[in-house]
Amino acid sequence: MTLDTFLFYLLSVFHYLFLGYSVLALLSYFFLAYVSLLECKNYLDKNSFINYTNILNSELSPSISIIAPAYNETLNIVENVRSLLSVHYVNFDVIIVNDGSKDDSLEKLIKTYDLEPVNYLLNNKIATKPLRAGVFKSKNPAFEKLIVIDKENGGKADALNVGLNASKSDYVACIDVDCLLVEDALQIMIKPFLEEVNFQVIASGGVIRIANSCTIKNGKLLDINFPDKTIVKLQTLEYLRSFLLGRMAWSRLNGLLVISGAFGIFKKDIALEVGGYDTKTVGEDMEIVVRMRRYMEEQKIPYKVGFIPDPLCWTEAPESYKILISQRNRWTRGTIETLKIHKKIGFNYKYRILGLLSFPYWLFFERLAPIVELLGIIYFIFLVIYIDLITFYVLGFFLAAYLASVIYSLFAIFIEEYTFHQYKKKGEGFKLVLAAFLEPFILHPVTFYAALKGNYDYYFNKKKKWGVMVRKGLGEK
Amino acid sequence: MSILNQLLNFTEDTPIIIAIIWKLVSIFIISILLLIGILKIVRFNMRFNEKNDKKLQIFYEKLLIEYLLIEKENPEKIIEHQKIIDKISKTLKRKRYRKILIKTFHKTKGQIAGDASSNVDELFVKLGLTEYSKRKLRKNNNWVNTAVAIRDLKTFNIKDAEKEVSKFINSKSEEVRQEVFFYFIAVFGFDGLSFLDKLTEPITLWTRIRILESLKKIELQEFPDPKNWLESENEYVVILALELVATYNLFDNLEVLTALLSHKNEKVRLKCIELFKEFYIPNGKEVLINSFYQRTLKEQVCIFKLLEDQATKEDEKFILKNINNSNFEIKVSALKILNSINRSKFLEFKFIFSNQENTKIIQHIEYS
Amino acid sequence: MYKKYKIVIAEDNTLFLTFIKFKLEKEGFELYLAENGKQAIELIEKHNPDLILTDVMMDFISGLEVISYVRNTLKSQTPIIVFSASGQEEIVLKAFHLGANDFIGKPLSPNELVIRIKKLLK
Repeated sequence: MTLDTFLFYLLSVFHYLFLGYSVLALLSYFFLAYVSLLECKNYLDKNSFINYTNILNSELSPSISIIAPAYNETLNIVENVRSLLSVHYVNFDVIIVNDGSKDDSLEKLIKTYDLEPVNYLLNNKIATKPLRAGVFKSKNPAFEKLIVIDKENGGKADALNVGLNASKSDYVACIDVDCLLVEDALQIMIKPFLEEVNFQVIASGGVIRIANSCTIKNGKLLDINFPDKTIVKLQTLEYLRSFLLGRMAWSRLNGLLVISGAFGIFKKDIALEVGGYDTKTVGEDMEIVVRMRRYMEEQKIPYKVGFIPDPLCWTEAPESYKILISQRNRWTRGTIETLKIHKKIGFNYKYRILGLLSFPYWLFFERLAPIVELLGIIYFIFLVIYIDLITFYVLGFFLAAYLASVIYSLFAIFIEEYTFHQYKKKGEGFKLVLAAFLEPFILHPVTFYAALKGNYDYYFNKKKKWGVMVRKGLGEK
Repeated sequence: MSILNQLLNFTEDTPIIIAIIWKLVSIFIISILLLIGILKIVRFNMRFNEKNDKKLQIFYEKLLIEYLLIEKENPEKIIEHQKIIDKISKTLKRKRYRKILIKTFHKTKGQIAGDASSNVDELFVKLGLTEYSKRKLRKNNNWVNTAVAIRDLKTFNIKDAEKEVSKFINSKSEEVRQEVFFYFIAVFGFDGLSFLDKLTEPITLWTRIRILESLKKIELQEFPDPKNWLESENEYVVILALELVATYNLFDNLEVLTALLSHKNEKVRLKCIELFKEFYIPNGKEVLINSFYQRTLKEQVCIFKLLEDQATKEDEKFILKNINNSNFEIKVSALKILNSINRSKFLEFKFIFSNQENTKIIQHIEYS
Repeated sequence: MYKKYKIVIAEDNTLFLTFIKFKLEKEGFELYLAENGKQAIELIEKHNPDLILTDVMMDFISGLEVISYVRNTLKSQTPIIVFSASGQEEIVLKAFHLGANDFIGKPLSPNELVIRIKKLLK
């Protein structure tokens, strides 16, 4: 065989593999979209028979601890805590874990909420960094649900673990302290756990909505607006796609691998049993869900991971490209790390859907996607430079990919309109559709670059950890 | 270059792929235009329907108010009522209109109680809406319709639908089952709980909470004997029965309750232990201590919580055996109990333990 | 001489409002209807009623703000009765802290409402 023929065969193999990958990706995205639609309809139908106020009054309502790690959050910490304390639920407490902040967060809290140090027994089931100033509770009975724990800095995962150790409730809601929770959030999120009969619900995740440009006063969401800044508009669209089309579907298939770190509820005893959050990874939110699922599979206990599509948690999305890239870089590294830690379950029929469907999907279409895309681009550039006629083919391919992405986004917008219809104002529909057309040109290159950088940093730059996030404060506009 | 020629031939020989790709492009473009069109229509429809529904609602509200405000003593009462009934009946051919009418009735019942409320129920029947609901039940093609029908029959207190509704007690749909339960409770009060005799499907905690809440609304009468339910084959019925025992203090069946401490299902046993903890039922403590080591971890933790309230000096030996239990919660409980039944013995342990964690626990208990 | 008591009602549910108006006018009360808190405040200032009825949950200016306005701004001790749907116990408690005199839950019986009104007016 000559070199030329060999190269030729190599290229054609790559050619078909690449085409095969694209077709498979396309089919799976549309399959997920279809499943999502079914699940959304089912969810809405069930919703018309629900009356959440009953949970408020009943002594049988399960106990929930809201755990919110905080690091240098002095700008907003007082308001955020106030907002958390005003959640509508009967049997809960709020545990703020001050992760060795170098600012005056603790002092502000002590002053505003009248805190005093208390003698509190922590179950050190999970090893964590030691406490610093200790555990505080309020002298004022109006704030009796508040517990503040001050500890040495150890990172978000470590702070969450301290919260797990400290909680005396059956369930824990792990949230980002700067997330705005809607008043009814706990009542609605706890529902999947109340419906378990022959199976256990181990965790439940929700949708994260983007709060930029919304009116927020005193910790309450007053007015919802589609964001002003283009980069945030596009992220809004992206979140709609990934939550309403992606996670809804995975939840129905019982293959959900990730619950957003910004808001999720877990069964405390199982979270403790698996050892809490992993402090050595940057993707601790995904990693603990995979680990909990894996534990249940290994114990052969029937279980489910729930998902609630209601808009319950609103957060600030990055407005600058630099911070966005840093965030996506971290997400990429988190995915790579999680898949690596749990590589045993991949393609392993013992782990059923987790190993045979979720893991392969995540591996091929999430973790490897940027790499395949990069190789594809290089290949196409090579073809275009050396063979003019191919331009027609390449152009067609890119156009098809672009249009497929637009259709997918439009489908997401359609589901949003059909279900929660949060962007009601005149003209916002048009802005959403415009975003669908712009996103592949503006947001996608940025996230693609961030993902590539993430891969690079993972392999060659091990020292990198959480990166930069500058707080601007919710509702400051 | 030969390789490039080969590639050129390759691509020329496979125009199919190119053709497919461009066909796909055109399909996509058409789909996009279609989707945008649909989106616009959907948004427009939503706004249009909202407006229309609002108008319809106001129309029905006016007629309903007229109906309700006609005086009892008015000699023309029946004629006036009939006029209104006719006006409304004309509009009831369309499903959407019926839906809005029922919604208006629902709303009204949520606002006004007493005579006016029963008048709304009467009107529901007189308009023939009961027939529509019963028809939905007979068709039974879709769980949403069935559940809505049962819910309407419940809201408007239609007693004579009992037979039709009973057929759905063991429906596979959770929502339908719930509505059946609430129907029986709303229409027949505590006696309505007889559906528990026939129930073979599970009852979720969510449903149990709602059942207990809706029972609270019924005026206190004689509560039926839960004995049958406590001995039911369906473990979920047993759990609900235990919750009823706790809520309504139904302690006539102490032997049955004590026997439940050894039920084959762990959830039942846990619920039972909680019951014994809350109510200081005699014999319970002894049974639990005697069977302690055969029980699961969850039960053991629960038993210790019970002992925190109910332990006495006689139990000291048992407590001492568990002072160094491997489970943190049991250990803390045991130490707390020892502190309350025999403080001097407890203080001795300060010097016996070398383990740092245990010392911390003792310090914590000592100073709380 | 028989005195006609003036009552201001703030309620955003028109059906309820119409129904209650009819029942109360039959009992001999003079009624002023408001569909939201702002209108209620205007009517209170204009007519200086003997009793105020308000729903706690309304859009824009809530019932709580009406109560606060009457007790703190107008410094008036006019009796106030609040009504609310179930599940709003927290807000009702707040209403009492602000100075409401009585509370009646929905669905409510018009006869009971009349009895409570008469009691407060004594």
